[in-house]
Amino acid sequence: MNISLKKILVKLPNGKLLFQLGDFNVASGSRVLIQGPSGKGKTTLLHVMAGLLTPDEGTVEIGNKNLKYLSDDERCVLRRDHIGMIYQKLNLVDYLTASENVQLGSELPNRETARQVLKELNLSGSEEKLAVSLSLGEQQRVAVARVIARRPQIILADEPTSSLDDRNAEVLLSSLLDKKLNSTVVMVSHDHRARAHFDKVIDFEKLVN
Amino acid sequence: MKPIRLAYLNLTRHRLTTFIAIAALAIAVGSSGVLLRIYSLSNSRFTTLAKGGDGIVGAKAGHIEILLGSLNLEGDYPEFIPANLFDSLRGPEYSSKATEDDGMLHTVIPILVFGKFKNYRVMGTDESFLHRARSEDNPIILTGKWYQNNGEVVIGSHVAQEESLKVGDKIKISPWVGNTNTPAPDREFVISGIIEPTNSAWDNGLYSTVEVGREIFREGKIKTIWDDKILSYFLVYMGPKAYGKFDSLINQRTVSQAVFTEQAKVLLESLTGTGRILGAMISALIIFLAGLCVSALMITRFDAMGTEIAVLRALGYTKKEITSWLLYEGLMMSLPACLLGALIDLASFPILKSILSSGIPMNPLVTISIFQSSIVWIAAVVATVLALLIPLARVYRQDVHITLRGI
Repeated sequence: MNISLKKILVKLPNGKLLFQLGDFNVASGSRVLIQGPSGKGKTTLLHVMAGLLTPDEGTVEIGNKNLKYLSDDERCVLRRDHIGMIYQKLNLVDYLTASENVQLGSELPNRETARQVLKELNLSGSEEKLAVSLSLGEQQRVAVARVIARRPQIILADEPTSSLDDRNAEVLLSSLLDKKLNSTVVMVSHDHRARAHFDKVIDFEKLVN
Repeated sequence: MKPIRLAYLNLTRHRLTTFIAIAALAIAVGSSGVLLRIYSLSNSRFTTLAKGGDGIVGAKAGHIEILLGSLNLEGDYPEFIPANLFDSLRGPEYSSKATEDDGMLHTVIPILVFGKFKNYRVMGTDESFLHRARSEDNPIILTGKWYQNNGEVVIGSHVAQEESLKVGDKIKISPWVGNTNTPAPDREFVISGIIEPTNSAWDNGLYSTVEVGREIFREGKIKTIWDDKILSYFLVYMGPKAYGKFDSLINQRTVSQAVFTEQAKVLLESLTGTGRILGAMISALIIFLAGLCVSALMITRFDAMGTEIAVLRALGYTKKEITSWLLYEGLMMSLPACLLGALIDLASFPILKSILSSGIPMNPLVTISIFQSSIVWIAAVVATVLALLIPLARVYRQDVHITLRGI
């Protein structure tokens, strides 16, 4: 599933311009890493792609759907069915276990699939621990497991490796970019370890005007 | 994960807060329910006042006390009045024939309270109780017959029904002569008849002879200034022109107090009217406050879940699913709270009833069931659902991007 952004303009709540970009396309199945300094709007760009934020100007198309013409709930369904997003703040639900967090969102994946994915991410034995009791690194991997267990067509990842050691960063990136998933991946990261895994590395400052 | 499971997990993983919320709801529901039922019980006396003619004579006391004591069989043990007065009222001016505008007394019914069978009063009277000047007021013997001797008793239909008694059964009656401890032993009586339901306090009474009552006083060595020549009340039927004479005779020339039934009822209505309105208002206020408590509790709880709701929206939960989740949570708290509240209500009702004792009818003819509190249960559930409106309005207006970014 491809992502197409056209003439996007996003303002801050105070009305100041955050960023503006021309046409930006991510082809289906490609992997794009966006790097750039903090506070310039990389996370916001991911939110625009996920339909969480409607840009002040421009159009966003996911597959052949223009998000402008989708209702709030239709965008929710689109996210649930096709988009997996890993947030910088992880956004795990504290009172749910690792396994239950992976099962959030839709009826799939089931408990067994959730446990299998957690195992792949070196989280065996932590499946039934509450999210709040996990270390930051473990939480980060649970957030990734929540996405890849659903095998979404698009994965949007915001700094998923920031709290991980080299070994776990490698495991996570391998899982996230698994060819079998065949997902379109857009990842925002400062992590230089990630560069080698992507088809394309884009400097955010060059992308936006 | 379905909204119902999410709701269940949220509640069970926050056990302490869930327990406190459910307990608070249950206490609000229970206390509102029990107060509502006590109010209904207290109010039932206005529909159960027995027919007792035009006037009542009792010991000097308040009009309402005499009215409720004689015609609703409630309150403390009544003081005595001399039986000589009763004899003189049944004297030369007494006539069993009533005319529209005469000045005669037509029926004078003696009542002597002397015993208790469980919580029911046992009274001595005579056949005038069954044969009154206005025949529509006459209690009718449903089965059996009027008592024939001192060892027999006629019982009201409610007593028969509640205690599963029938004609021919033997019952033990305890002497009850007020606060005085009497050495008189319990007495066994045979039920000779059961009175047809009157839907009034008469259904709660047991009736035997005045003489047997006096025997108990003699046995118990109860001293009065009239020895055993005493009564508790007389119920009087009279012609319209007799009111003035009756009033001046009893109230000015004897130690007794005459009360005109209709006037006393009006007085009771007017005196207690404010109390009844106040009672109804307090009950309504408590239900309203309980509803507000429930709402406040739920609003606070749901308000604290803003980020969580945004996360779920980002993960693909639709507004409808979020609504279901919140609704399930509300119901999962309010339904057990109502059940628990009903149990509190059920357990505390008899306790409160016994604390209030003489302030409320002891043997209500109306059924005060636990289901009378159902309005409180409905109010609690409705309040819970209404409490969802505020967080739901926020869900519908929520900017997920801003919430997740913490801007």
